[in-house]
Amino acid sequence: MSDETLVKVQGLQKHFPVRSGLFGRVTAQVRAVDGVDFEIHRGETLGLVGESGSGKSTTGRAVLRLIEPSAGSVHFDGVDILSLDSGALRRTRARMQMIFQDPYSSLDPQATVADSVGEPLRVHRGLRGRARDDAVVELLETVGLQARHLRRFPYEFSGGQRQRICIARALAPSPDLLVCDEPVSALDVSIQAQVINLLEDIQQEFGIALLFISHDLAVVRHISDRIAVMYLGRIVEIGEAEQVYTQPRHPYTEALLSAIPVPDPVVQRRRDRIVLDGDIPSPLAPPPGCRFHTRCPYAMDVCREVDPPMIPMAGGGVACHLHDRGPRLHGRSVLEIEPRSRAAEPVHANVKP
Amino acid sequence: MTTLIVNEEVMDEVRADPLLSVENFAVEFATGHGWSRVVDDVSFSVRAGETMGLVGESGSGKSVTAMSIMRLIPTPPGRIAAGRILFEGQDLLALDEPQMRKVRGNHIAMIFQEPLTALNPAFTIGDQLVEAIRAHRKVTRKQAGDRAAELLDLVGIPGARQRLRDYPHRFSGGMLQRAMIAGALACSPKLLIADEPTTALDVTVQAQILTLLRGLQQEFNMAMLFISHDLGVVADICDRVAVMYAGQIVESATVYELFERPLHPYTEGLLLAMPQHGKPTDRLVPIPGVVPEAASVADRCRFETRCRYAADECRAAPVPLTSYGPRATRCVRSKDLVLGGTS
Amino acid sequence: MTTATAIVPGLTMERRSTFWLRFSRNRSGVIAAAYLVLLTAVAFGAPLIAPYDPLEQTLAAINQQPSAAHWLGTDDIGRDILSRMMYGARVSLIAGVASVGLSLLIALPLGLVSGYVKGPLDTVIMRFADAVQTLPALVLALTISAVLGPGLRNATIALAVVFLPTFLRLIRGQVLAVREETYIEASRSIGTPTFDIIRHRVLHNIASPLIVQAAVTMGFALLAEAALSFLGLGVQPPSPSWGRMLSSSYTYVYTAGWQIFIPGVAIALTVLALNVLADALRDSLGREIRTS
Repeated sequence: MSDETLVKVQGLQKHFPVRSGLFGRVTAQVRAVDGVDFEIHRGETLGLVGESGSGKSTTGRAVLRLIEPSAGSVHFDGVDILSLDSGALRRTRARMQMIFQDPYSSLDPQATVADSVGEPLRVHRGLRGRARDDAVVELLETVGLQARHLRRFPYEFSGGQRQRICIARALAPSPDLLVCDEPVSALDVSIQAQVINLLEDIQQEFGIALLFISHDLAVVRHISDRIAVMYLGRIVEIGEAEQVYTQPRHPYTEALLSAIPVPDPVVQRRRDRIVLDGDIPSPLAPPPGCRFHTRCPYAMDVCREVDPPMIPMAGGGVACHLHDRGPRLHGRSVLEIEPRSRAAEPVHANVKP
Repeated sequence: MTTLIVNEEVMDEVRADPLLSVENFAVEFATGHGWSRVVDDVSFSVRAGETMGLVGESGSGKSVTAMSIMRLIPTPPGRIAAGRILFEGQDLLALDEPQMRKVRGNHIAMIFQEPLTALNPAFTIGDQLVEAIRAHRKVTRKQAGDRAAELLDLVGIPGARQRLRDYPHRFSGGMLQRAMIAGALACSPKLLIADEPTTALDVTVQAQILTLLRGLQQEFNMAMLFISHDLGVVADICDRVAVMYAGQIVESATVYELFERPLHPYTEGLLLAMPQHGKPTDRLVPIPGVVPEAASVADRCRFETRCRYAADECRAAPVPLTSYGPRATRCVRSKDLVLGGTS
Repeated sequence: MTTATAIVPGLTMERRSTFWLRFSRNRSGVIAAAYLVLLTAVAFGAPLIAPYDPLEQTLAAINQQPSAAHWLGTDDIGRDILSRMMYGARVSLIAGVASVGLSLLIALPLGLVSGYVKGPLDTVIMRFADAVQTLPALVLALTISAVLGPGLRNATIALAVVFLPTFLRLIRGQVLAVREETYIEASRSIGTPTFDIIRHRVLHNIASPLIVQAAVTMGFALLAEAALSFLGLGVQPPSPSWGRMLSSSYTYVYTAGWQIFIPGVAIALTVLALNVLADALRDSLGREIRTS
């Protein structure tokens, strides 16, 4: 890992028009991603965490320009990829690859392993026949599969093995960045651990940067150097993995952590739990002010009116009024104060000495 | 060599008549080449008011077992090959379809992973709740409607009476699962079978649903059979747990004992594989390999191919489930292995 | 079937062996396939195995009942019906294969582009398909044949045009479904050019339903060709064709009633065989994907 910036995302937005009526007029915009900034350094793993509708997958796809962002910029190794023509973009894609959530639908069911894993080799390096097969075998061995799997079809493999095939395919063009969109969510725990270890190994070996997108904060904490937490199209907190996991600065991060059940009944049943009310609001009409205020146990009047800016802090930043106007946490963890729902007094009175 | 302490108080409870008792149960499915046994020699019980967890990974047979209790396994291609399912002393497998319909939804209710597929998109939530109520209770539509509103309110859906008129697609995933729970509670069942009820939900919504289920269970003293692949969820909600692997129960114990000191290497493997285990910088400890075809390991311990403790004796013969007081394990080496748990 | 491997370059050895294994278990499918193979052999081996010249008239022996000399009898001008049936089979098969082949040749590139790229081209192509489909198939075929003039070639073209919208719609619909699959997105993320994606990924995955539809349509083509020939727009006399034979025997339905049954049964059997084959193909193709 180095401090050299590989990816720089600024003001990224992706709005999906909602068409309705007889003539398909645009009647609303789904603000899937609504102003997102982050950087990924060479060889580092940035975890992107959020629940459904947070825009994390859309962000991942926009970074690779698999979907066209509505606004903002994405620089990859200093090049603005949104300005590239389709030919240049395709050549750049060799350096940024993606692994998808569903290992069942991300491989062509009619294509052999050699054909699927060999696709980047054929497209970018013009390899065919024996030369391609030799290169594919080498990749298969890197991900823990063997030469005998070369002529098999996806249906002959388990979910974990398919994900290995997908990883081999993503490694084929020797990328600098690997976007992993929920790569282990569809897998059983025992297999999940195999795939995570594999991802860590190849990152070590090839010095690839990972953008690891997941809803599972425990998995993300394990694999990431830094974590960004998304809620309704925005990053609400970004920081060192350990800090985010143990000393969260944003109330949503705290709630998310609290909601993940700990696999130990003694600990789990003794924990203080924050159960958020209601559902995530629709990204069609995000709430005014802070987007989290409708479910936030610490919400103050200012939160309903003023959209909190990202406040830079050591190792990252947080977008929350608790840090600039509220009880003035100044970057300390939100765990230090009691949520209003549990406290009798007003929130600011509960700041522990 | 370790000794297993048998708590007499717990033993008394075990001997008490269970509400549901599954005995030596086996299910087979027709395949291209004969019958394949997907559930084999499964025995467990659920007592009134308790939550029994059935935990396992995909293909372990946990959902097939749950569906079989409701007699919802399509036959063919499935068939029940052996065993009894006693509910309040009566063998559900001996009932004919009309008798079974009286049990289903009335005494035993079920909720599923995907609530949207369990609801009819062409009818309102209210219509479907009313139908569920009137299937088992002789009440007027009006009375059933009132009860439906009451139920929605009970499961924490705001503006219950208005929401009755909504179609399923107007509900979020969490709200749908609440509506499903409302439907399941319609006839105050004695047993609720919950098949991965929170797997499709976001974690913050999952926390809501678990809290809801726990509260309702206490309120109605309802027994719950909770099927899950997530050890965290199991640790949160279950009183006792049975771990399934490749169609068999490999271990059962109270939730505290199971996590603190597993007796089967597979249970240990599951706990070790969780990213929460150990320090965050530690390497994860996966279970090597994949679940084998049941037929290929029929003559031995089914976990032997992936077990780090496998020895010759594990390959000698199929392993029976052996009881140690209130616990049971399907491991021939359980007496000389000291496995690691959460403690 | 030669078409199966020609349309699906992705059917490699392993895939084919599982396909054949399943197909071979389907008894009616195998019988239908065997019948069609036999028919093809007879049609193209007719010059070698036909007992008589199909055009040779024996005016001394008209409308004879089946006998040892003429197994299926003779027609109104004393030609051997068996020999004419053999030669006629060739016309029917060519009409079926050629019209479906021609139609696919046009529909495949248009449908693939229409479904994958969408946009204005898609609108134009699909409105054309709508327009063609508003007319009853046989009426349209009749009109086109009449305009182009009678003859086997023109009848084939007419049928190809009639089949075009069905194939276009099927291909486009399949492409629309396939293009949403993650493996297409994966190919895009790899940087694979669009044409390459269509050729290597989309085409393979729409092949199965297309093969089935082609078999069904061939049955219809056979029937339509017979109808066109019956009405005098297909093959011209004296060349033998099942439709023509049906039309000429029709005149003698009271004096030599059996004659009408011979081409009639042959047409019905062949159409049935193609439909049974289509069913068997549908059941045997691409099951790997569903069972996994």
